Amino acid sequence: MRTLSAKTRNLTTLAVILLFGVGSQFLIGDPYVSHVLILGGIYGLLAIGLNIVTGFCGQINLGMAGFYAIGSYTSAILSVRYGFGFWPAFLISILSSTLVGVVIGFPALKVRGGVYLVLITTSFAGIIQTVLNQWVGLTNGPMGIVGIPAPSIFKHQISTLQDWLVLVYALVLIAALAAIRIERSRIGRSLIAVRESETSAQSLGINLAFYKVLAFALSAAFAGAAGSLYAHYMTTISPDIYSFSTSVLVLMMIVVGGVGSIPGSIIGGIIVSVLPELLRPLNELQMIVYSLLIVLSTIYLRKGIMGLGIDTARFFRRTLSVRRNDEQAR
Amino acid sequence: MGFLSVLFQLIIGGLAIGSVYGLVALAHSMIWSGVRVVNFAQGEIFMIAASVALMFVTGEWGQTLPFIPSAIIGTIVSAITGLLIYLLVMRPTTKWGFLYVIAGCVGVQMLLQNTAILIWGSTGRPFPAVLPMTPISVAGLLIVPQDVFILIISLAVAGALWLFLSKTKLGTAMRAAAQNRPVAGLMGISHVLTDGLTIAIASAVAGFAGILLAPKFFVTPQMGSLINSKAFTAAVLGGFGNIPGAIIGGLLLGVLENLAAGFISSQFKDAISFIVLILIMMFKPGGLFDAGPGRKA
Repeated sequence: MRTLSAKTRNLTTLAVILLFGVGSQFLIGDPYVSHVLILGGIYGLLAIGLNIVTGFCGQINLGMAGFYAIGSYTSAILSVRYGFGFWPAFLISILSSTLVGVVIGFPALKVRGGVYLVLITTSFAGIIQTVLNQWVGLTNGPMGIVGIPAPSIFKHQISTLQDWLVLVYALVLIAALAAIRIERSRIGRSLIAVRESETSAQSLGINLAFYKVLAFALSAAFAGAAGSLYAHYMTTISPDIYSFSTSVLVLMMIVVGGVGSIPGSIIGGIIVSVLPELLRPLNELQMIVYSLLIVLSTIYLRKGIMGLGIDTARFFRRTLSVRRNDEQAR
Repeated sequence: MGFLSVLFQLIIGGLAIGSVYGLVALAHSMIWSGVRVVNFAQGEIFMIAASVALMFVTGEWGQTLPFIPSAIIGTIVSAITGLLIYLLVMRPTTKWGFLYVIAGCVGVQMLLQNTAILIWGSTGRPFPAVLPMTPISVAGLLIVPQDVFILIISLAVAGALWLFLSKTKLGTAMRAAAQNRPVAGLMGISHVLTDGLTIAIASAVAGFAGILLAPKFFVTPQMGSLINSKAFTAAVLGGFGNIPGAIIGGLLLGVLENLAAGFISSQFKDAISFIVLILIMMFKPGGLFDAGPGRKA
């Protein structure tokens, strides 16, 4: 019986997602569909970030909206007020978000138990949102920032939806490969060891504080990238986008996609943004059915859609290989 | 008006809203110490209770009921909602880990909010106050009767709950199960009974808090989530799982918030709770009454 290695499986899934994301635009050509898919890609980036801290390291983070906001606002302020280009603004927003991730990592170290961590991270995102709303001099308050310029690559202005689709999914691919690389490195193995048992990880010489803070910083970096992309794509941002419900949505993405699986996060991101659109014909029942589906998937789909796929594949392979053995015996 | 009188008014207002935070925090602490789960959808139970009670008070269902019967119906509905959430969502997800409990509860939160929007609409609706909302002058101090009413009733509920937990046999059983589950089981205390009762009573308390607070604010589908986040801060302030601590934490938070709004800036009022939470987590994670590691406050 031939089993696919985890690496091949991840790469195949990634390839399928990218083909789906970019290819479907050229097939369908509907601007609204590509808009939803671009948002799905950006959500995928966020979900990859959350998966590093929650999926690998087991630290629940319900404050992703805060890091996302820092990415967006850094990028927006730099490019609108100080005339920075897209790439420098993008890199600086990743950096600033990472720095804040380190700062949040420290109080998170002090607490034991998931409840406290959830509360700390939600409070962090709450503080960030209050600052966005009230520090009018910096963030322009509830009005938000408008007129964020579109990026350009090699003097090619990214303006059409096709361009955006290619850019977003290219960055998602880079991020996913980076995250898979992290998962297979010494860092990833240490993070997973911390998730499984803090005590035994520590007894193996893993520096708990260092790796927990690192996990927060890495996840913040991905969220910062997503935030910057979102700001440049939407061209306007306002504080209400970065509310608690966004953090919740990101958590839903990894639970629906599969906790601990990087391709699963991207799938989760796309599903969470596409599903409401698919349910739109239900009119007023739309959001009710949507939230019901999410609750059901947390109860019944433990390993997410990625896990469901793997289990189905394994089931078929097992039944098929049994049959093949029978034929050989005959 | 002198400084002292302003201070006094802010404190009274803070105590009123703080006692409501305290009741919701008490529900969290009770559930945590008794069943070892956290219901992140507690704020929505709060909202459902207020909406249901409002429906009867305004006579949306044909007949207008006075405040007390409506409050009782709202409280019963909230107890049932809490029990259903526990049985249908929290129990099945507990065995898979805390992450799934949170995800499930947050999903329920979305579900309940959207259901409320569907039934009652998304606009805020006023809840008729039991006592006048206009301040009256008592010995030179301006006091809002409704605030005093909220404060007295919530303290009475907390007191009644304390009496139930400490004086009755059932309450003792619940406390025993909270203190040591396996041994309580060996003494013939049914976990099914104590768990269910804890969840139902806690949800009823949270729902009742919603009905109490409703006249001060508009009843909206989103009213619960903000209160819930503050209740968490109050619970942590008093030590998560510590029942009297939750009430004291709630009162403290309410007063702190109102003083900050009055003397610093009302815009940062909602951030106070978050800042308090982070500070207490950093410097005294066991709550204000924590005696130290390994000792129960």
